[in-house]
Amino acid sequence: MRTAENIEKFIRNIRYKASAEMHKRTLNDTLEAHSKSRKVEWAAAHSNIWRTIMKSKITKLSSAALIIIAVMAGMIHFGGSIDGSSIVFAEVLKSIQEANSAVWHEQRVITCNGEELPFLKSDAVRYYSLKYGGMEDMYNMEDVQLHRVYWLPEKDMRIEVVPLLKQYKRTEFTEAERAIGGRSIEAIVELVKSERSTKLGRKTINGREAEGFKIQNSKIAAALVPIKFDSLIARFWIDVETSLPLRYEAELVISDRHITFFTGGKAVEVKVIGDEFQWNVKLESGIFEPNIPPDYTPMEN
Amino acid sequence: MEDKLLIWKLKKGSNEALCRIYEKYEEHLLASAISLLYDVGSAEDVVHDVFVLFAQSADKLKLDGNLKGYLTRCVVNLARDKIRAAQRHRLGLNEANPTGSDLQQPSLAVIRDEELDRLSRAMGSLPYAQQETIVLHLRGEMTFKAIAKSQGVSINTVCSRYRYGLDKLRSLLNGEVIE
Repeated sequence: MRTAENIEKFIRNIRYKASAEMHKRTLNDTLEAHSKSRKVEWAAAHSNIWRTIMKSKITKLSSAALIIIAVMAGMIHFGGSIDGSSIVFAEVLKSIQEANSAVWHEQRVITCNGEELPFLKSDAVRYYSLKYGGMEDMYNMEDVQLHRVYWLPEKDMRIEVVPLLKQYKRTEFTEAERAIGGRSIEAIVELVKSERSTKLGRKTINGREAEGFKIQNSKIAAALVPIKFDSLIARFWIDVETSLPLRYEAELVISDRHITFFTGGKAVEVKVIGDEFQWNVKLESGIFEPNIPPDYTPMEN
Repeated sequence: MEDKLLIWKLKKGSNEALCRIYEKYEEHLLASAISLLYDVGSAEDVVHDVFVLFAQSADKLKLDGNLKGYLTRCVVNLARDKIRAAQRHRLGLNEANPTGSDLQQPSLAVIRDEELDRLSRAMGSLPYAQQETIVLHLRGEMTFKAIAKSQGVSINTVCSRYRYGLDKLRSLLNGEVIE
């Protein structure tokens, strides 16, 4: 005869050993579910980070690269001595204008204390057209589109579209952007004449002979990048044969609070690499037409 | 204390912690599910689903009691869903002859443990609300107050269900009541 206490103890302690098959299947499925949820969670967390990033000024770093094609050419001439074999500013500008258009890749890597911040890493495809202006598509490492920025000289306007936020922003060009966007060689010359560069010599990039130039703490960059930076070093590599840019690398140290709130106030280094240039490509006008979906709202400053 | 540590590690993404929780509670939960469903296959499915759902939502887990109670409650809920689904299925197939009181499916796999087999049969003769209360209190180590809150009934109702259920079980298991 079982007492109530015995019944309770019996029910409390009874166990049942699962079959080996059930044990293995359940454990495998459980671990797989956990692994998948962690991936989703990671992606969601990074999506949230990017929402914050898009609201910060970090994407304005794009402006630095937009003008780089035209401006970097200017640095070259006003820098070191020019001899007969050197690339000169006018040649580069002329080549860029004749090329009419370009598509290239740009990567931005941000580090703090030597540690890369992977969630801030981004890739961009950049389009340049002498006729229409510029456009950039930026993606994070999960191929999520972060923003699309249009530089439209005819409208005297920069338009940023942020799908993650379903928002957009129209901003009138700054004086510096206007000078570059106006495509006037004189204006560019005026803009860059105070810049100084040093020669880096020559090297081969993707089978092409290139001549390198370096600038530091550019005043133009300070005018064009709407974010305060502590220092800037940029290197440009120009194809000796075509006088067209082949690659650029820039390193900015930034302690602007809009960026450093990701790092608890510690300064970050932003490394920008532009490469894989294709010059004189046919670009449809549609690439430079911002089609903002009707449900997108204006972004606040 | 160990469970709190395991949950903390799990939320940090530890597969090792998840394995430990699984190893620790698998047999306990399986026996609970069998006692409610009287069917090994269905009970295995319930325990499988409980752990998969637990793993999927581990990062959002907020325990207001102990882990054993939480997992047992999950088993009870899924077992209830399974029984209701089986009821609906049977009603759909044979609407002319509904058998509302017969919730348990016939055993598809043999319950290898004789005592658990007896307990499951005995539990099957109780109203389901009494079964749930007994499982949650004795196997989930939940207080009557917590059970009342989770079921949305008064604490007196829970105590009554438990007392009547346990009395009947005692009678059945002692062979005092002939089915």
